[in-house]
Amino acid sequence: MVKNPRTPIRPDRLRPLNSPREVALQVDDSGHPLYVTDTKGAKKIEKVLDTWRVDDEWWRNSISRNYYELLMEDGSRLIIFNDLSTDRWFSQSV
Amino acid sequence: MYVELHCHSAFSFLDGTSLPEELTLEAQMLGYHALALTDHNGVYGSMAFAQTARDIGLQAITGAELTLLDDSHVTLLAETQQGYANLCRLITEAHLGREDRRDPRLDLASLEQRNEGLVILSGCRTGLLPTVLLREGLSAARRFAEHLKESFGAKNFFIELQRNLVQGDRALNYGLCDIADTLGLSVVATGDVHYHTRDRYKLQDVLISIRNRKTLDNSHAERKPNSEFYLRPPEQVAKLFRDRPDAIANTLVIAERCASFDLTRDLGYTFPDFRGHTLQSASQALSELCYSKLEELYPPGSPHREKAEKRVAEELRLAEHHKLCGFFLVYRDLLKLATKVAADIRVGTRRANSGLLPGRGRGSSVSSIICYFLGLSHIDPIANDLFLGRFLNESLASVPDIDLDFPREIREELMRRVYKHYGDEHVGLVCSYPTYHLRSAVREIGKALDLPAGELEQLARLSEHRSSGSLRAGGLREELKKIPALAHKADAPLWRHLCDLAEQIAGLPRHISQHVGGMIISSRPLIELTPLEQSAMPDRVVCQWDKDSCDDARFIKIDFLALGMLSLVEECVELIAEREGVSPNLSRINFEDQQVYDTICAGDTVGVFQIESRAQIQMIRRTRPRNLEDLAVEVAIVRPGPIVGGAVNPYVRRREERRTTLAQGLAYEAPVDHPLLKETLSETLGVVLYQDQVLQVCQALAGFTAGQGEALRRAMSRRRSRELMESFWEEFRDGAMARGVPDNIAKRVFQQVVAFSEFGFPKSHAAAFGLLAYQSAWLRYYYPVEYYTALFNNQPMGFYSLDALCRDAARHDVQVLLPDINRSGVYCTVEEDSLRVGLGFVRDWSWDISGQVVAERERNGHYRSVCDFVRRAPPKLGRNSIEHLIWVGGCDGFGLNRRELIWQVGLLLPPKNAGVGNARVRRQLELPLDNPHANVRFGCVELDERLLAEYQMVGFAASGHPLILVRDLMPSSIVKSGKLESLEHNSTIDVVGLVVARQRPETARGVMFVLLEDEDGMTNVIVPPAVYERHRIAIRGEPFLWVRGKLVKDDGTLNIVAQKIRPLRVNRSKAPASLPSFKSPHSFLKKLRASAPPSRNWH
Repeated sequence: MVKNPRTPIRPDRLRPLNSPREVALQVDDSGHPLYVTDTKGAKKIEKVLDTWRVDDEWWRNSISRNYYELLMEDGSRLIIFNDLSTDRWFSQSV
Repeated sequence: MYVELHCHSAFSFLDGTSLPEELTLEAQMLGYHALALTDHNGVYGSMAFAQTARDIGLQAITGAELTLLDDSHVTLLAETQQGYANLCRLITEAHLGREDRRDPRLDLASLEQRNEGLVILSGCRTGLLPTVLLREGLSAARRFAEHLKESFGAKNFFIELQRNLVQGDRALNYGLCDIADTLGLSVVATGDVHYHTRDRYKLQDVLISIRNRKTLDNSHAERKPNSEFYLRPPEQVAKLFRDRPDAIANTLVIAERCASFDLTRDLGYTFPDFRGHTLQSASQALSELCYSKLEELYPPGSPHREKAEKRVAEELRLAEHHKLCGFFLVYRDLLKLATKVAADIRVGTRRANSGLLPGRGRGSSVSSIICYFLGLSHIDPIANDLFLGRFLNESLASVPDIDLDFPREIREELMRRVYKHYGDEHVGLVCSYPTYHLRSAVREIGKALDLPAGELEQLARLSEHRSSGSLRAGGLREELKKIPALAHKADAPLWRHLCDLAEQIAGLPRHISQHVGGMIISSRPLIELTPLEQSAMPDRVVCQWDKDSCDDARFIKIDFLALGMLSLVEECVELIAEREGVSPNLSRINFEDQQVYDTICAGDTVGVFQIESRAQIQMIRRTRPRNLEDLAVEVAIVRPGPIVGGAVNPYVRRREERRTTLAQGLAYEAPVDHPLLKETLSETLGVVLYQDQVLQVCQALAGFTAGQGEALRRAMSRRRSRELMESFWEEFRDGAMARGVPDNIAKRVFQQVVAFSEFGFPKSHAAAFGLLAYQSAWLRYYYPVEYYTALFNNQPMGFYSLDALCRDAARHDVQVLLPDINRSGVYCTVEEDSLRVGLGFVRDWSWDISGQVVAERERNGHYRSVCDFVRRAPPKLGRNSIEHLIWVGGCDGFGLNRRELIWQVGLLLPPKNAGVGNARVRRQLELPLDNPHANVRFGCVELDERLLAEYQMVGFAASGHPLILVRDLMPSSIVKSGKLESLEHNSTIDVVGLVVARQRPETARGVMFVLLEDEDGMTNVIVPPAVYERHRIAIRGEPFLWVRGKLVKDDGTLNIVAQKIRPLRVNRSKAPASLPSFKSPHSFLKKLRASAPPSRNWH
C-alpha cells in the first residue's frame, strides 16, 4: 500500500501520464514506414508488428487514429499513431 | 472479385444498423454480385433481403451467425434446401432449448449432428475457433480444428479470416492461417459487416450501449473499437488480403455453391390439405357443402336466389382454378374446432344457449359466399352487395386472407388446440418487429449519451408522438427548439448527436414481437421453413418472419384475432342472463330499432364498438345513420384512406342533399368524377370509401386487368404502400387515356386511389364491424348496467380511460360504487342498478390476491372488522394495499371512519419501512392497556380528499368530477359544456376541463383536437396549428386546461376553435368550503394535477 505522503494536493503539479509526443514518420513509396524521428533523432523501423484503428469518443472529442506497433532496429518497441483528423503522427510508450 | 459472407443487418437486434434493403443496394453500388446475410441467431430479415436482392439481380445467400453454449459464434450458410431446413432447425433449437428466451444458444453437438447442406465458417473474433486459439493457444486450437474438420468435412468447413483493423488481428490471422495450412483446411475472407456505410458506426456504438444498458462512456469494452465494420468495396478487401488470395477466391467458391438455393423459390411450403372421411375430392366436398347451404339460406323463390347461384358458381370456379378448395375446407375444420372450444368454455354458463357464435369473420373474406356458407362469415354477401375481387379474383398471386375474430378466452384456448391438432413443429405465430418511435428513440439514445433523464423525459413527453420512421431530417431539433426550457440546447453537441441519431434509427427494428393474431400452419414442418422461438407470452411460439415475409413466402396466414368487444358482449350477455334468467339472442334482435339509432345519432356512443371516438362522434352527428348499411359507412369513413382521399366532406354534403331531395319526392343522383365511375361509386355518393372500390375504380376508369388489380391489392397492404401504389400511376394514366378520360380527372381519381395506401376498410369488413357496433349500442341502450360492468372488466379497450367511462356511466344513471371488502368480487359486478368495482381494481391488489380475499370471504363469511380482515387476509396482502382499499371506502362498512381504520391497520401491521419489505408480518397484538391514544379522535375524510384518493387508488373518480370542487372559484364567465347548445354560433367563450384525449392525426395538417370534460360532459376543442405552437407546453403537458375560443355550431356538431389555451389556475388564496382539507385552491390543484389519470394520446 502506498504510504500517505501527508502533503497537500497540488493541482498545478498534476500532469497526464503517457501523453503522446509528436513525431515525424518517413515512409517509402508504397507508404511503408521506414524511420520515426523525435526530439532525440531518427530511428529505423525494423518491422511493423501490428496495425489497428481506433474511432471513439465521437460524442465528446472525436478520436480517429491509425496505430502501428513497431519493432525498432535497436530492439525496442514503439507505438505510434496517425491522428486522422489532423494527419499528424505521435508516439506513445508501449 | 470478392463476396461478403458475413454480414449483419438491423435484424441482428441492437447490433446491426442497416436494413437488408440498404445493404443490398449498397452491395449493388459497390459491384458485388452476391451477398450473404448472417444475422445473430435468426433469419428474421432473410426473406426481405432475398426479395430485394432478386429484384436488383444480386445473389442473396441465406445464413445466420449462431451463438454456441460457450458464447462463441459460428457462421452458417445454406447451400441447399436441406441445408436451409437444417439451419432453421438449429436456430429453433437454440431458441426453444433455453430457459431464458432472450439468450439463445446452441450446443455444438447439435451442429455436428445436423450440418448437411450447410457451409460452416469458423466465426468472427469471438468465433468457435478464434476463441479457443486466444484462450488456450495454438496447439489446443489445432486439435479443435481437426475435430471440426472431421465433424463437418474439409469441404464444408472454412476458417474465417477477418481484417477490421482491430488490435491483435495480425497475430490472430497468423495463427488461423497456420492451423488451416497445417490441417489442409481452406481459409475464407469475411468482413463482419454491421452497417452498410462507415458513417453508421456511431449509431452502432449507441445500439450496443442500449443493448448493454450502459452509457457510451461505460460500454467501451462492449463497443467495437473502430468504424471498420462497414460493407467495404470488394477491391479494398482484396487488397487487404493480398497475402492470402485464396481467402478471397474461396468467397467466390462458396457463393457459387450457395447459388443453387434461392429462398424466394425453394422454400417448399404447403398448406395442410383437406382430409375428408369419404374418398371425394376437396372440390367435390366443397361444392356439395355449398350447394346444400344454398338451398338452406337462399331457397328457391327467395329474393337473392339467382344472384347467389351465380356467385357460388363463380367462387367455386375460382377456388378450383387456384386450388383453394382444400384451403376452404381446412378453414371449416378450424371453425369446427373453434365451435368445440367455445362450447367447452361456455359450458355451464347461462350464455351457453344464447346463440353466440364462436367467432366472427372480418376483412375481405366476409365478401365471399363460400365463407358465408362455411360459417366463416356472418354477413350475407349478396344482400349486402359485397365485392368479391378484393378477396378472390382470377389473377390471385397469393392465397387470400381469412381473418377471424374471437373473444379473448376462446382465442387463447383455440390456439392451444391448433398446436395440439397440427403438432408443435407445424404451427407458429407470425411475428412483428416494433420499430423505434420518437419517444423511445429519445429516451434510449439520450440515456446512452448520458443526457439528464429529466430533460429527456420532458422532450419525449412534449414532443409529437409519432413513429420515428416519419421523422423528417432535422425534425427532432425543431421539436427541441420549441420547448422553452430546452431550446437553448438544440445546438449543444450531445443534443445535436441525439437529434441526428434519432433520425438514423428511424425504421430500424428493435426486437421481435408477436403479430396480433396471424398463425401459420404448414404440412411440412414449419421449423424447416422458418425458425421458431419463444414469444414473450408463455406457451406462445412465434416464427421469425413478419407479415410481409410470410406473404412473400406464400405462407397461408390464418388470423385468429382477439377482439375485446366480443369478450365484452359475451360477458354482458352472461350478466343479463344472470339477472333475467334468459339471455338475449343477438342475431335476432331488432336491427331497425329507431331508439337505438336515435342514441347513436345524438353522438351518445362512448363505449360503443368502433363509433365511440372523438372523431366518430363528430361524424355520426353529421351522417346520422339509420340502418346497418349506414353504420357500415360510419365505421369506414373515419379512416385515413377516405380522409386523405378527400371523400369525407363530399359524402356528408351529398348525403344531406340526398336526404332533402328525397324528402321532396325527387330522385337524387350523386355526381361522379367521370361517367365511367357511376356504377362503382353511386352507392357511396360518388366518393371512394371502401378499399375494394379502389380496385373497382381502377378497373372501370383505367381498364386494369385482374392481374394489375391483384398487384395493386398486394401493394395496398404492404409496408411503404404509398410508394408502391404511386408506381401504378403510369399504367393508370395510360389506361384512363385509352378510355378517353382527361388527364386532370385521371390524376384526381388516382389521388383518391393512392390515399388508400393509408389505412382503409373493405366494405365487407365495415359491414361486419357495423353489425357489432349496432349490437353493442343495443346492449348499452337496453342493459346499461351490465354493459358498463362488462366494459370495465374488459379494459383496456376503446378510446376512453376508466375515468371518462365512469362519468359516462353516471350520465346513463349507472352508479359506480367503489370497492367494498364485503361486497366486491374480484372483477366488477352488477349490484341492483349499480356497478360495484372489483377488488382487483385497487392499486397494488393483484387479481390473484383479490381472488384469495374473496374466496376466504365465501368460505368463512363476511369480514367483521378491520382486525378480522387483517387476520384472515392472505399474508401477501401488504399494509399499503390494505390502506389503499380503506382510502376508497372499501372498509367503511365496519362503521369507523377511514382515518381510524388506517390507524387500526397501523396498530396491527408493522410500519411501511420497518425493514420487512411490504410483506405483511403477523405478530402478537399489543394488549390494550394504558393506550395513550385510546381517546384520539379522527376527522372524517372530506370529498376533496376522497376524490384525490380515488384517483390515486383506483385511477378514476367515482365520487364526481374534480371540477365540482373548484367551480365556485372560477369566474362566472366560464361556460359549462351543458350550456353550449344554448349559445350563439361564433360567440367567444371560455371553457375549462379535464383533458380526456389529445389527437393530432397526420391527416389533419397540424391541427390538434383536444377532448375536454367538465361536470356536464365532453367538449371537442379544435386547436389550429398556430395556437398549438404558441401553447404546446400547456396542451401537451397539463391535465386541466382553460380554453378561450369561438363556438362553432355546424351541422349538428359543437366545437370550440381555440384562440388561447393555458393551464387551469384559480386565483384565490384561501380555500373555500368545498376544499376543507387544503390550505389553498392552488395546493389542491397541484395535488390534483399529479393524481389525475393521464389522458389518452391518439394520432
